[in-house]
Amino acid sequence: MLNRAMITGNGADIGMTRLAEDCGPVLAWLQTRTGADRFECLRIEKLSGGAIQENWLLKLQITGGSHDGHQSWVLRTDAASAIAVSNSRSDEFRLLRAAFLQGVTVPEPLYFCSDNTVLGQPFFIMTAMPGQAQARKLVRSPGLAEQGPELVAQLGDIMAKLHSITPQTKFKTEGLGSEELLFFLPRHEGSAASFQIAQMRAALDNLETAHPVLEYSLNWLEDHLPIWADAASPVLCHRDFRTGNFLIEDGKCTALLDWEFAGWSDRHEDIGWLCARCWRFGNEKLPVGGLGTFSAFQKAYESASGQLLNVTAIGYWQVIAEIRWAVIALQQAARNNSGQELSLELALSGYLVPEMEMNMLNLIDEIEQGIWADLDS
Amino acid sequence: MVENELDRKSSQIKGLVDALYADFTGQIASALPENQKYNAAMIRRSLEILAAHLQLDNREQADDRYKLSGQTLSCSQLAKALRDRQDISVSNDKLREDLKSDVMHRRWQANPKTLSKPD
Repeated sequence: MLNRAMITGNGADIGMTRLAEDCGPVLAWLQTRTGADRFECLRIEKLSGGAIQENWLLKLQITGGSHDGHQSWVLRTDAASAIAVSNSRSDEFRLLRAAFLQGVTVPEPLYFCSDNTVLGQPFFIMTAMPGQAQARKLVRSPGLAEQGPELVAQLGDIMAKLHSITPQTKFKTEGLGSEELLFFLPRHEGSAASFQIAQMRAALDNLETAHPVLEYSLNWLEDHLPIWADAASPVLCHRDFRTGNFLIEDGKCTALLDWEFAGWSDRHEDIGWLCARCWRFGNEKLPVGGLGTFSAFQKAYESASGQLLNVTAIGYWQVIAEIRWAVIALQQAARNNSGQELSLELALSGYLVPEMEMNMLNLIDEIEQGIWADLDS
Repeated sequence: MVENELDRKSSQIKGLVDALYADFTGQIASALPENQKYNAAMIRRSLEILAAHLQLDNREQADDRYKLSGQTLSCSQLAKALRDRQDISVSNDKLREDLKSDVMHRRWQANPKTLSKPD
């Protein structure tokens, strides 16, 4: 039986998807999947954040079936502004499943729906996890000085677990391997570093504006490939592992979210991204996402993975992190400027770019002069 | 005469943006509900960027050129030359200095309330 769905949240958001107008078909679909006798939706609320995807919190009272009792689930689906380079919802569901099976701290993926008659587009259901994801609130948390070292050590541990997934991994449960579960992830020839440079150039070619600083920085990275590129076997990288994309509750990470960019890459890509200057939200002296020191993160990562990090390479991955974020910001601004999707947030993204450009030029100076000390405690 | 007319129009538009900014930050933003604060902050920042852009004279607004050792390249010419690894007859240090100077200028335009205008 379906009843009482309360719509809350930002008034402007209501009507953005069919879910807000009528969640009945979704609930009926879930009732069938769970085999419940009664399926009551107590509350449905659009969660904040997510320019590319929408997340809806569902508070449910389920009677009978596989999930009897009170449940808090999240429905994740594409936003109007989904971008081509991100993984589809079905791929993201498989990635989440692989991570969950490997013991990475993620929400449990429950159901995937490819039937467009239910919501109008594919979606998946995962468990709701407690915690705060808003980066600016997290880096200003009063408990950070005390909790920061343990928190970044936990992040090192989580990342090491994630990076233990390779194209050859066989998961302990369900008899599945990466080959079956992650078949859709592209493999590329050569190093992830040279692949990234080619990707960034291709992305710049698709923009209508020219960007000499980004071209200069890409040339510089290419000229130094022998120092930082590693053609060793790739690992599963999140590729958006940063403050803002994980939930923190009482100083502990409860879930790593937003898997739309995940793929096979060099482990140092995730670390360069997490430690990039553009992702510290004003806490410049705490290189691990503005939350803690690198030494605490490094110790935990190396201990959990059994792999020594190439700290020099991370500096170069920090440069490409600045380039990649600048390119994403330019793509977002272009969506507004073309009239495709008018949004003040997208328009302002373009004005973030000089900050990233300054970061990349400063990093290049510091690395060349031998004074790069970003990750020192 | 043409310049005076342009100056007059620029000054009028600048006055309009300044008044809009004062009205928005002084009266409207504070009255908005909590869930509109982020939108209000974005509108405020957009108005600041607009005002900074209008502070520039017409020549500065249109100038996207890099003056490198006796040659002048547009932004797109320089980007293409770098991509193609052309010899642009300028030292790496000078090129990086010019790129930084351009970034500093655009950075100020993007954050006019928190940074001072570079020379």
